[in-house]
Amino acid sequence: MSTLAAISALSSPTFWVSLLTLIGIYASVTMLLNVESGWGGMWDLGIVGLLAIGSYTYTIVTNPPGEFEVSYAPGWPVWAGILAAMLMTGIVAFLVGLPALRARREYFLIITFAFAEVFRQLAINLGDLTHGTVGFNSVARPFESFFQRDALRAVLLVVTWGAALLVYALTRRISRSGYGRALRAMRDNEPAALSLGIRVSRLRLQTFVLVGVAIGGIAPLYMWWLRYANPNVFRAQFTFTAWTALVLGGIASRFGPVLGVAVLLLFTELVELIDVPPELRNVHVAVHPLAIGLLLVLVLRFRPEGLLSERRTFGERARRQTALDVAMAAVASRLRRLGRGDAVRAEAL
Amino acid sequence: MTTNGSGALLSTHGLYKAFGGNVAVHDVSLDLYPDRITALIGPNGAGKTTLFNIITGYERADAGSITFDGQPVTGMAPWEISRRGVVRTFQTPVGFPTMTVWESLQVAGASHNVLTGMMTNRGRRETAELSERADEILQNLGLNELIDTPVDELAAGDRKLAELARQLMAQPRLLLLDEPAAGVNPGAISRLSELIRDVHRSGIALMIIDHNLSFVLDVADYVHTMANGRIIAEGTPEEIAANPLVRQVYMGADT
Ligand SMILES: Nc1ncnc2c1ncn2[C@@H]1O[C@H](COP(=O)(O)OP(=O)(O)OP(=O)(O)O)[C@@H](O)[C@H]1O
Ligand SMILES: [Mg+2]
Repeated sequence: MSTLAAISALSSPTFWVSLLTLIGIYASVTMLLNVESGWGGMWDLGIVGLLAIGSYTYTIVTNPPGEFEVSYAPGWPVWAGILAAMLMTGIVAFLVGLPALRARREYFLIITFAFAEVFRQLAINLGDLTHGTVGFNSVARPFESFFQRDALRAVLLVVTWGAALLVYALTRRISRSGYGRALRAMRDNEPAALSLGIRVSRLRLQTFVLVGVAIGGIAPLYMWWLRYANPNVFRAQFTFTAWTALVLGGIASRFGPVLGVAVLLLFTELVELIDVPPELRNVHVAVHPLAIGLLLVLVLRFRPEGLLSERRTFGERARRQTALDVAMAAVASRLRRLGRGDAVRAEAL
Repeated sequence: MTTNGSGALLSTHGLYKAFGGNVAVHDVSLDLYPDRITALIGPNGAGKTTLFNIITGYERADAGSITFDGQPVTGMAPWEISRRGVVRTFQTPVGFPTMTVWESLQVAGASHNVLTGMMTNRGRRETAELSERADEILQNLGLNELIDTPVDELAAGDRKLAELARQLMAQPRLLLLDEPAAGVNPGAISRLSELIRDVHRSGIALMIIDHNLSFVLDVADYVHTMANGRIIAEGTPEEIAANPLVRQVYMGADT
């Protein structure tokens, strides 16, 4: 790519809309990974497997009948496709989690990794349903009849970030709830968590399924962005990118996943756009992963917990926040009582 | 309601546990009464912690049974036993190292379930209640200075106290303390005894393992002595102190 091309890419709205959409998608997935792995301590290396299930489910059920040579194409509307994707990933997460969560942490990691690969192989081999290695070269998107190409991209960018905001609100609620504290407690010290009445094994399964359902909801966004689906898309690379972003941003912090994804993907894109003479093209490609590694090493050298940290998300800040919440709730209930009192008096008059 | 009508809150019957060929708990039957502070002493490796582990569901007994409040609880999972009101502390209190003292006190008593744990109104009321109770407990144990200290930065003695505070948040009916005085500096032991008596006075039944005999014999009303997995003597602190068998066991050991 010449300097000119690099500059034109950076100044093109399409480039930024596309990159920002991708960041929104990765941010959502990484936030959910953080709930499971950062707070819950379940080291999941198969997150892309759930994404694959959701993506394929969505694509299969929403594709117009007759467009692809597959045995099942009900041509459902987009909203039904999203629900189907969430339901399906939830069920699969339950079925995978049931055996996998019985294993110790190190084995859980391997089992989830293996399952993700199994799903990919299934996608290749169930050609009747998935169109095999070729996959689908188009995906049903919402609002297609209302907007032009570029406008639709912008709309989907907004939708994607709306979803990311929802996921953030969910993780924020979790982090401040008894559920979130139970997650971190069982990660920190399982015997102690049990001694406080926390039903550790069920909590793990619930969390795995919750994350699965949510990933199923994000998967259609990924499909809208990508606009095709084939087994190659769901390689472990996706999982590794999410994990790298999580470690970079600060595992078990609350906003770290978003920050980590933004920094990592921006950096990756910029490295890719660096101008090199043609004879160095191969070197550039080879050095690319090294540059990401270097970024990670540098960040962790100076901030071992990542850009943000669990300690700063919780700790003293959590206590002050709670005190504030409690005070505000007390004020609100007093106001409400006052309001009711006025109403009663008004009625009496 | 009790099985034997004697007023025992917790009873064990013929508990037996072996690790390989090593018999850790050998035919242990004991009754625990809520109106007195019970102690469990014995040399290292006597089987005291293993007995706690069996009662609280962390180890499964090879034989024998346990009743709590008249109900059989043998073989129940630790979380289930805890919810029934039998709460224990750990000999090595690691706690929740990523949390502050205050945060770790918010873990117990909250709704842990995914859905109920996140419902707004209930959650808010719960939050207010929990933080109030935590403040009170920390105050009582003299830990308010350490409220924002990360658990893994606490001194050994404070860590024991913080663990006691955390387990009190679970609102136990019976509290099993595994070496509460270990690591507590000698000057603070009498204060610890006082705290433990306060806990007992607040209506929580207590059973305490400890190696510090002057502390145990001072705080306990009744003492069981274990050696090699068996209960070898029981009685009032005076009786135990005068028991030649107990003296022999303790002379033989290095404590
Ligand atoms: N999980 C285990 N696996 C194998 N052996 C064990 C296990 N737990 C305890 N033991 C053995 O059982 C015996 C009793 O140990 P236990 O920890 O109950 O003693 P204790 O009375 O609490 O001693 P201490 O005063 O040193 O804490 C010891 O011989 C110990 O080595
Ligand atoms: Mg012990």
